[in-house]
Amino acid sequence: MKVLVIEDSPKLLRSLGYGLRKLGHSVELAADGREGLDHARLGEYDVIVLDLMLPGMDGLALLRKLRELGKRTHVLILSARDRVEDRIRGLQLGADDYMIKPFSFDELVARLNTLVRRRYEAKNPELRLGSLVVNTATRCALRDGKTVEMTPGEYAILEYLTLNRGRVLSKEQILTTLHDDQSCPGCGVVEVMVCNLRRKLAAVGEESIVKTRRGYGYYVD
Amino acid sequence: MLAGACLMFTAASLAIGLFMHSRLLQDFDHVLRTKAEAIVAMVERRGNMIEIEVTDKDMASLGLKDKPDYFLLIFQNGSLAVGGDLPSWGDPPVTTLSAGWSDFRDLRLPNGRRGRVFRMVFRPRVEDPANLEALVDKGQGWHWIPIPAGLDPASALAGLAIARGRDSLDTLLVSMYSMLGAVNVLLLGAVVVFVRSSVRRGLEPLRAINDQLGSMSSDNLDRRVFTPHPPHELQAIIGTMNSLLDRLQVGLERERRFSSDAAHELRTPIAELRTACEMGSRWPEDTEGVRAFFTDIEAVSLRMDRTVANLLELAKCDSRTNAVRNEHVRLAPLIEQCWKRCAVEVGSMRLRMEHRVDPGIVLNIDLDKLTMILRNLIENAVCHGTADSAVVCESVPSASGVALVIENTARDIEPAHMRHLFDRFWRKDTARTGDHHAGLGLAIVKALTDFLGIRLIVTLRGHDRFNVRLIFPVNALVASPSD
Repeated sequence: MKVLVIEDSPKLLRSLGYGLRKLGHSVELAADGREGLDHARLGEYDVIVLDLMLPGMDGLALLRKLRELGKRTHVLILSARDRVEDRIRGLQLGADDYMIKPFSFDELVARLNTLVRRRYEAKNPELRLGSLVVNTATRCALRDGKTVEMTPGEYAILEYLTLNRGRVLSKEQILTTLHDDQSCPGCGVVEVMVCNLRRKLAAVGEESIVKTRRGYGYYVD
Repeated sequence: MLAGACLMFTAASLAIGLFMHSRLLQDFDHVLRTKAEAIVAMVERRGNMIEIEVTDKDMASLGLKDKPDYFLLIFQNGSLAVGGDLPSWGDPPVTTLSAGWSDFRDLRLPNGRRGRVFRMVFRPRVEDPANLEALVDKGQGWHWIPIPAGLDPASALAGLAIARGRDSLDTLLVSMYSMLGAVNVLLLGAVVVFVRSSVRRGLEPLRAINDQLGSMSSDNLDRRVFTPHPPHELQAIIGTMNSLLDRLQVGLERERRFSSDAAHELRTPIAELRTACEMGSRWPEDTEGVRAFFTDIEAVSLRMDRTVANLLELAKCDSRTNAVRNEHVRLAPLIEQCWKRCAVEVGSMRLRMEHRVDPGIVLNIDLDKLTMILRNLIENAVCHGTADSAVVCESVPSASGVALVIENTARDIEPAHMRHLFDRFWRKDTARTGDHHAGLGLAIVKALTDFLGIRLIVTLRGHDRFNVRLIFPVNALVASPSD
């Protein structure tokens, strides 16, 4: 999952970036409204976490602008404003979810996962690839009920391919969705990670799940 | 009001009716009296004979078949002279009456009709009894009645009663009362309709105002009361109501802003603490990360401590439970001490203080509260001042003794901000970025100066000189600059 977090509290921004990266997500951070809008316009994100009281540009104004530009990225508002009117206004302007501070980090992650599944029209958090089950809620892959050990990055690739089942994803696409402004690896990293993923899946009898379309990229079917 | 109108019309109708009744009755009685007096004028005494110069033809009116008048002439002793259609003289007996007596009364006539009788007692006119027999023999049709034996002809009195049916009078009276009653009812009806219509028309603007006020709520408080062409009496009320709505709207917006600002100021640090704790406890093996989170937690805790302390101070001021401990305080060193607390910010902004507070000023005042006031004001001046500028602190004479002025060059302060300066949690930066200020500093200054009786005046001089003047009460000054 590629997440953009727009929040003016440096401590909260730091904590959220840390936690989401630890879970294997690609995270970009913005500390004011204008910077956040620039990121959102130019980047492709699975979901945006948006504070409302931002310097430079208010969160609701940013959201309105984003929708006017035709961006359909899911937005979860994270705000200290708890009045019903504020929540209604945010949702009416195009937000997909609204959480009030202070919040549970686990709940935030669960809601973000839901929005990502919605993006790929996957109602069920458990995605099946033959005998393999990719559980987007718990962020693990299971075969016959047993967890297939893999790194967060390898899981992220498997999840991304599974959510885009049937579509060929290029190395650049995989790279963009997996890595953020904290790391700038090359496409070679994707090849290595896919290779490692295939080896681990083969160890549990699922060697041919991740397929290659030479010259284009990778896919699962 | 309608009952009053009803009573008024009824009373007027009754008064008119009774007046007309009285006049009609008077007229009726006048006719009877006139007739009786005419008959009396025709009654003469000649010797011991009574002569009535009324022929049968004249008496014909008394014998009308349908509505006859009735006539009775009797002597003083009660014996009948002429007439007899009336059954009797009635009370009081004629024997007890003297000449000149007369009365009117209602009675039932012999034919059963209601009637009215006029009675009078008179002494017949005396005529020369000479040629009496010749006159009697002449037979002019006049009536000759001998005075009964036993009565002194010279002093004999006669009683005349003449009665007439009062049908026409009664019919007229009934018609009159009926007419008055009908007119009364019509008038009342018209008044009711007119008054209700007028009242309804008059109350229409009030109803419209009531409907408008009833539809107002906290969500549409920007509406104002409006009616096209209101009556003059309502214009003042509408104006007052709209002024009240203006004040309500301002107050509600202030409350909403306060709730929103307070929510942000209190919730955001809690969110920071919670998330940092969750990250640290979830990935404890990352010692560097955990260390960073603990640093954040400490900083946030300190900030919340300041916010809570400020809120408690405000609460104590609001509830007037703040204790006051006055002592002698030298103003100049206290200002210097507050300035030194801001050394870091002063250094980074390259600010300087122009300290022109007379060292001889000593105040009898609560040191802790005065320190809080000065600290907040000087921190405010430092934080919002422009780089490379001066913060001026000077003592100036005032009518009550001495005043302290703190002035600085302020960034981005506008006249519209001035009315919010003392609102709790208000910050110029609507995004509330940064964690140095919660927006309570000036609110505390206001609360404490009010509590200590210090007059606080804040003005914007020019477009960027923020001026704060503290005028100390007379009884606070122990030693003035002249001492």
